[in-house]
This record gives sequence, C-alpha cells and structure tokens, in this order.
Amino acid sequence: MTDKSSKGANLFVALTGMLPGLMLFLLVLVLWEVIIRTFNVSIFVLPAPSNIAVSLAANAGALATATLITAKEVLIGFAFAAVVGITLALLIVRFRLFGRALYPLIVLFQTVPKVALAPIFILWFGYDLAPKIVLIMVIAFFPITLDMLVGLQSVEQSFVSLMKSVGARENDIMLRVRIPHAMPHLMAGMKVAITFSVIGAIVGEFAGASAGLGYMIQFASTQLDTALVFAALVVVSLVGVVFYYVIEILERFLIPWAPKFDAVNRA
Amino acid sequence: MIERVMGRNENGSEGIRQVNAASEPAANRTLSGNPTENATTGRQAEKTGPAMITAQNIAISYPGVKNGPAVIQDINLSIRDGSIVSLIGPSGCGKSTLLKAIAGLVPPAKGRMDIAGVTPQEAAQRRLVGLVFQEANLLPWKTALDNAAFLLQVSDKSIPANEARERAAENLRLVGLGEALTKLPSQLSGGMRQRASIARALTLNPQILLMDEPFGALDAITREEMSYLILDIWERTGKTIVLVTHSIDEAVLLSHEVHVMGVKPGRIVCSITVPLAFPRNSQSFADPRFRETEILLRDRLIESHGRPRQAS
Repeated sequence: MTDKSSKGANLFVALTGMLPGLMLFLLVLVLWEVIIRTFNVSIFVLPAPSNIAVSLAANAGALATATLITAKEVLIGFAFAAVVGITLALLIVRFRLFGRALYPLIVLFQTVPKVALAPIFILWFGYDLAPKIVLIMVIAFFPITLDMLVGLQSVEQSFVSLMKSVGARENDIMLRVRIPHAMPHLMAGMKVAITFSVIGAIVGEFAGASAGLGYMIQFASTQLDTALVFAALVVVSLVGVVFYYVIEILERFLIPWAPKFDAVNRA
Repeated sequence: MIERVMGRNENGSEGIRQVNAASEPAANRTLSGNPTENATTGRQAEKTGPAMITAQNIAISYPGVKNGPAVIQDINLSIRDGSIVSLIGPSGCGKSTLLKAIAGLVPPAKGRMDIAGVTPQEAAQRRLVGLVFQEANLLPWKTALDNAAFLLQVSDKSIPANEARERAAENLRLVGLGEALTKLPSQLSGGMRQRASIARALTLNPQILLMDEPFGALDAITREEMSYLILDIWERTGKTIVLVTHSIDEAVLLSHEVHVMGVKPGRIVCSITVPLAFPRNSQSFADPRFRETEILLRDRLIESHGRPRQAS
C-alpha cells in the first residue's frame, strides 16, 4: 500500500470494521420495536426504541445539563483514582517493605463492596460533588494500581542486571525503564477504571443527589417515566464510551511504539 | 561455504563413533575421582596478553541461603587480556552465575575475583565490562540508536547526548546496523536486535565483553553469522570476550580456551585450549583440528552431564 492511498484506505477499513457491530445493533433495535408493537407492551414496563428516541428529544436540555454534572464527577473522580492508583503502584515497587505491608491491605479493601459505602460517604462528605468523587476513587483506583504494578514489575530481570552492571541506581531504573515500560499496562488499567468511574458516579447519585444522570434515572423511575429512564441510560452509556475512546486515542499518541491491542481481530 | 559443509560431513560419522567409544571410560574416570583433568591440545593462544580476569577459589551460594549448597565452587580461572573464552556445560552448572560474578552482579561467598586489577564492582563502575544476554533487551520505545546509546548515558550523565549517540552510531555501523539507526526494535529481526544489543555493550567501550548465550534465541544460520560478527569485532577491537554457550561448534570456532563446567556443585571440570589459528572464519570448520577439538569437547561435556555424586 502506498502512503497516498493508505489514509483513505485506513478510513475505509475502519468503517467496514464497524459495519458488523452497527448491523447487529440495528437488528436488535428493529426486533425490540417489533416485539413491543406486536405484543402491545406497556410503555411503563418497557418502552420501544422509538419511545426512547422521543423522550431523548423531548428532554434534551435536561439530559444535557445532567450529563455535564455526571461527566464532571466522572472526570474528577477518575483523575483522583489515577493519581492514587499510580502513586500506590510506584511506592509498592520502589519501597519493598512498604509494598509488602500495604499490598495485602489494598487487596482486602478491594473485596469490600464499595457500592455499600455510598451512603456512608454521603453521611461524611455531604450531598455535593465530594462523596461521588470519593466513591469513584475507591472503585476505580484498583485496576490502575494492579496494571501499573504488573507493568513496573514485568521489566526483564536481565535488563535490570544490565542497568546494575553499569552502576545504575534504583531511581534510574524506575524513571528510565520501569515507568515507560509500564505505560501500555497503565493505559489498559485506565480503560477499565474509566468504566468503573461511570458506574461509581451513577451509584453515588443514587445514594443521594439533586442533579446528574443517576439522579434523573431515579427521579424518572419514581414518576413511572420508563422511557426517560432508558433515555438517560443511553446517555450514560454514551458518556462511558466517549471517555473510553478518549483514553484509547491518548494511548495511540502517547505510546505509539506499543503493540496495538485488538480485542476482536487475531493475527 | 560448500567446502566447509563437505568437510564436516566427511568427518561427521567418524567423529560420532569416536565419542561413543570414548565416553564409557571417560565417565568411569570421573567417578573414580579425577574430575579436574586439564586437557590441553596444541599451542598457546596467540595475540593475547596477561590475565584480565582471575578467579581464585570462587564459591557462590544461592542468594539468601547462608551456608547452603553452593551454586558454583572452587572456581579457579585466569582469562588473558584479549582472549576469547567460552564457558560450556549442562543446565544448572552455574555458567551464568559465574558470568554474573565477573560482572559484579553476584557477590562470591568465598574466594577472590579480580578484573583488570580491581574488584568486579569497581570494574562495573569504571565500565570495564559490557554485558550481552540471550534477550536483546532493547527498550521498545527507543530507536536502535537511542538504545545503543542508552547504557552509556545512564552510566555517565556527564557525557553529552550527541557524543553518546555518535559513539552508538559508530558501533551500530560496526555490527552492520548502519542502515537501521532510526528503526524501532519492533522493526528489527531477532538477529538485528541482538546486533543492536552488542552495539550497546560496545558503546560503553568496555575492555571485557561478557555474553550469556547471546545467540540462544536465534536460528542456526543467524547464529553462525553472529559468530563471524563476534570474530570480526574481536579482530578489530581486541577485547577480552567471555561467552556462555550451549553450542560446541560455537565454543570451538570462537574461543582460545573452553572451560567445561559440571554440576552439583557447579565447577570447572576441565579446560581445553583450541589449537586453531586466528583469523578464524567459515574455513576453520574444515580444519581437522576443529573436528578433533570438537570431539574432545563433546567427550568432556558428556562426562560433565554424568550423574552427580552424592554430597557427603
């Protein structure tokens, strides 16, 4: 393939790559619509895709406002989770005794169902942004810590020997080898963490909020406005997908040397 | 090329018979307590100087085990400046451990190690030693050039980046990667990656090159090319080279002297001087003395694989 044609060809490949997913999605929507109409399912129980679309359009303004609030919670919470997750991994690897002491506690903490902590965080931090950010942080830091740890530790022992053979200190090895080596792993951890962050934000709003998509879902379900519940769910999913792909694009820019992860196509 | 292959075939079958005939009494000799027979054939190596590496009664224990079983024991070695020496032996005989001790990465539990008049740790600080492992260990986010310059830059932060890169480029050209300076490791073949890792070691400008099964992961033809590369580097730079290998061919082709190691505990069973003259090349395979040395070496290697004696 020549350089000139490759750009257009890549786009073509990308679009045709999306086709199977798109077709299946449309097929499910059509089936859904047909089933609702043939069996006359009540809109209170399960709205048809067309009902959801109408609700989306009718509540566009309110949904947009709620989206901004939830997205802000997700972003700030995720940023905290990333800082905490990365810092913990660095400390565990750099200071082995500290790592030996801390790591089992982190694993223990991870087994606590954090969703159950939401009401407690509301009690401690009030109704606003703070309890959501704390909840997102405790839910999302773990995959980041874990993947970062794997990345930092998976440098070949012989490479460490090589560094030591020229008198490199542990800090040199950390900064110049371990951390860049861990970047692809970190990115994988962040992709998991961002989806956890969206869940954390919605749960946080369920536990107590006066705005946001989670709050809207809860409010709409008390009003039996099931179409709006689904409309808000669609928006929540979109927020998650957008954030996920932002990380994936960042990944391509930050670590172009890393082998591309392709979940579907095998070599 | 053709000549060499024919030469090897001619002697091949005969060689195997000799080994089989010799292996039985050889094994018996080992058991009757004469394991460190020094078998030397031919004349002393040329072009080499005084001792660069000396080991006296070196013993190394497993890390963290005080007074535990030794990985290697009673190692006495003298490696002359500018010579190529191979360590060969069964898995677990401590060849790599010995190499790491020379590099100052593993402290000996007993004995004295001396590298160009200083301790191995000091030698490492002074960049007297360059290491090459089986894995090329290139950083995937750096180009061949930056990889080759990397260790020098880490070990001496006062060297300007330009100078480090210039030296790296020079060595990459020496190993035949002059065209691939800006390539990432993922764009290089296995052999090219290993060449880059050799260039990285050479960029430190060490007096000693330590290579731990450097071609273990490569295919047969690439291995042979790499052997000629090592000979070429040695001809040009005169560095002392210590090579850990599993290949008898490689050991004979490259070395002035081959140390055969045995197991439990790891020790040097015998040392064989290779009587072939330098420069060596593909023609060396056709030399009858190549075959002779190879047979002798195989013989001693079979001995060294023998059942370990029970520790008393």
